[in-house]
Amino acid sequence: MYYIDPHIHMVSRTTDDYETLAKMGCVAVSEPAFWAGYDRGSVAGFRDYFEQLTRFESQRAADYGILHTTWLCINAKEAENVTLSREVLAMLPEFLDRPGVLGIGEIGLNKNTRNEAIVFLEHLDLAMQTDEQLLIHTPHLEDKYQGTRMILQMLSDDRRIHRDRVLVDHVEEHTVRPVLEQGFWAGITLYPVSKCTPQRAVDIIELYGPERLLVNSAGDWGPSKPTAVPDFILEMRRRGHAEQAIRRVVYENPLEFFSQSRGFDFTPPVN
Amino acid sequence: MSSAANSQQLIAREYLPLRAKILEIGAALDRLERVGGDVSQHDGWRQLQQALEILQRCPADRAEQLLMHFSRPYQDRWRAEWGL
Repeated sequence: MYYIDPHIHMVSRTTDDYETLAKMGCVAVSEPAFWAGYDRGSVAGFRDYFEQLTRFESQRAADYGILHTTWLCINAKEAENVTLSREVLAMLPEFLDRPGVLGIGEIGLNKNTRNEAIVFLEHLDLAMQTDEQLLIHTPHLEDKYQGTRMILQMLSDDRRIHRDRVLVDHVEEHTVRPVLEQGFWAGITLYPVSKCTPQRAVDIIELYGPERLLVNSAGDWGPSKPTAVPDFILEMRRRGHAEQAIRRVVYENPLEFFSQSRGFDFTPPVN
Repeated sequence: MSSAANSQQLIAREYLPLRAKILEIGAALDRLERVGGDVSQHDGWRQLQQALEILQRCPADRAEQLLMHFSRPYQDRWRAEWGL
């Protein structure tokens, strides 16, 4: 089955991973800008990172028949530095019209601080001025519920936002309902220990249905599994779900969401 | 979109994985006890004890209730309080 991984940090992965993903049916990925594991020291570090995301990475993926798309921003963890964040925000428009750029992301909150909220709101404003889609990171562990509610509050307070152009990511059982009820797309991250297992992800699909739900691996430089979406597909099959229902979640839903972006240019594989 | 599996199929599939997970919890609690010392005042320990009670007490939505138990609370006046 062809599938799309809508959230994976391929700059942290090897070329062997691209080969494995291609062999497992992956035809496209989207890569949100992310924390590198250390705080970058200057806006120049972000410029180099955005160059890598928008030029080099797309070629590396194309060598394996995978479309690489990306989202750009300063992530929530580094957003604590408001001065640097504003420098990055001022630079972002230079990159937003490049091929494969789907929008602004993954913005969000990390420890739910005032500075993080300030930078989140300024990203929202830029996205509205430039007509970009949004991909939003919700915090980890004990901060997730509070942070998700704060994010939904900020999104709801901005009347310019089209909710069907916003993906709120890393939902779990205690946050998926308000995200869907308020009309946003929701992403389930299949991540060992700190997020969701394939089994729990299928539980959520069974409880809420497939509409506006995506699943992703969020594979990155830490403990993570880039082939987690095929694990989800296998769990769906083991429970007896129809191939069409599985395809809706892992292929058609990301296509529908990404197709709203002017930077998305995807040619479906020939069956 | 309900599960296509019935209850007998599910329990047959889930029995061994659940048994293993419960054993892991038991073994981890034993490990803590063996090293001695008092963890009763540790926040994490108290949270874990309460989580085990939630598992027994809640008739449904256990995963959601457990996640809420491990979550910081939300208060909706945060924007006004921070001047945002």
